[in-house]
Amino acid sequence: MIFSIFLQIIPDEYIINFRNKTSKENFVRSYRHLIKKEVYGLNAVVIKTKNLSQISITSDILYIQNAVNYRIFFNPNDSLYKYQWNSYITYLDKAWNITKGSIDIGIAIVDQGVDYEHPDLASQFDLNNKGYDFIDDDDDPLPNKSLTTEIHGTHVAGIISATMDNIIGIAGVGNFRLYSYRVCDSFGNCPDYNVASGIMMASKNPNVRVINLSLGGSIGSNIIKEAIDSAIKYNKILVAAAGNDGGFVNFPAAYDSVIAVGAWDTTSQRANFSSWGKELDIMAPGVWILSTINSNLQATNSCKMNEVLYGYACLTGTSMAAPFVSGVVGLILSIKPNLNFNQVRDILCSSSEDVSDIGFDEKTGCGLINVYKAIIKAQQYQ
Amino acid sequence: MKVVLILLFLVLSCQRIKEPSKEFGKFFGAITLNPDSSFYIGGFLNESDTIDIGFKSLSSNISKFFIVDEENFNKWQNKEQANFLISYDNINEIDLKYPISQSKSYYVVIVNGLQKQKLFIRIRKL
Repeated sequence: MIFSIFLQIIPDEYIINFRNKTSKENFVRSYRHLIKKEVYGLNAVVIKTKNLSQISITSDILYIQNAVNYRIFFNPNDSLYKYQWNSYITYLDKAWNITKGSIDIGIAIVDQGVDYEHPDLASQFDLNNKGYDFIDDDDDPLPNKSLTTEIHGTHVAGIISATMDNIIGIAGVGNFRLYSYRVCDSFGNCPDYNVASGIMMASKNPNVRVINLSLGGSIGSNIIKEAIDSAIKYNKILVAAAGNDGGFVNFPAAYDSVIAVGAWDTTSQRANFSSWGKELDIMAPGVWILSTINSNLQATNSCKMNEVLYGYACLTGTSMAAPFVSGVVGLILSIKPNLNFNQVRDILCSSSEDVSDIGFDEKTGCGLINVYKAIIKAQQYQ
Repeated sequence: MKVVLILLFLVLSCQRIKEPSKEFGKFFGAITLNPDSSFYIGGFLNESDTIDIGFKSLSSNISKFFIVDEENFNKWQNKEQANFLISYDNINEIDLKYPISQSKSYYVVIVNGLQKQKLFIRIRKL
């Protein structure tokens, strides 16, 4: 038998339950100034007091308990959702009570190709415009599905928007339209001219609002910088992985007009491989992240799970942290579609959990993303 | 002799000043608890603070969850009779906001049962 408890104790409020109606009425006469409410149909009252000891305990009182708040809640029914620690520790599950995203928000994955045939991703793609393949120069960004070295783009896509509440697999951060711009080959090589082309094509797509860049290098590139500057003019929000070498924040994440995302570990600290520096903006879970891979591939003992997963696997890296933030940006825009880059970054930063030195620090940026607080902040944002 | 006495007084005074307890921590992660082991996090909280506690186990129920002040936490660690401010047995998930009524140090404790298991934990001060 499994038991769950959801409690929010209401400060200074108590429920007193009486033996019978007469006992309740006697109590109400004696403590009228403390009574907040009578419980309809039961011999119970709610009192509000900071000092419970002023109540005389008699045999007429059956029990006194703290008043608690119940709440509505949503948990998706996806079969592997229970393994998604990233959703839980960032309060994404609570944010879903407010928004689950919008298919009107397009998110571009500038990466290896995405397996848009995957049953957990297919519904997020527009078959008339799936994106573009800059490796093969055609309009079909499907990866080389038989290769285990080309699963990265599909994994990123699942983190952002694997279909939620469809019984199978995982739940992405939200429900969005996905576009795949294949700028990296099957072995993870991503020439800067391809990356720039991918950013530009995503920028010119009016449905795209967010561009995810789970890639990078240790030196800047003029052509990528030019494409990023152009994307900002198109009012796109760019999110990039900080890097996995534990050194300085990589490019393009290091550019000012890109949200740089570091990886948070299951041990409640910055993952030791996660790059850091003054350009780092925010942290998101990036270790043992379960998501989609090419639908024809299988993973054994992934995430130390004792089961064979078909079309799913756990991966680790800032590449997995960035798409989580891209998805959260999508959620924010589903609430306030016209926000610009600086406003979105301000919402993310001011709502994050400060997890290291007070305020901004170079190891964890503004802190660990708190999705629920970010969505509340977006709702209130003027 | 006079100087020595004054110095001695200073030393004694310093010993009387109780070192302030560390601030209540935060935890956002996924841990594996071995059979019969426990997880706890604690620190100083002020009256009117609220702690926001959530955990979720992936498989079986945990044996016990409780919130306790420092004095009773030490008793529990020494296997003495301890008074818990709030406690639940045999649960697999909790989502709790607990208001603090007195400024002092508190601990949040999760005690595992007989099965090794993974827990997702989110704990913070609001």
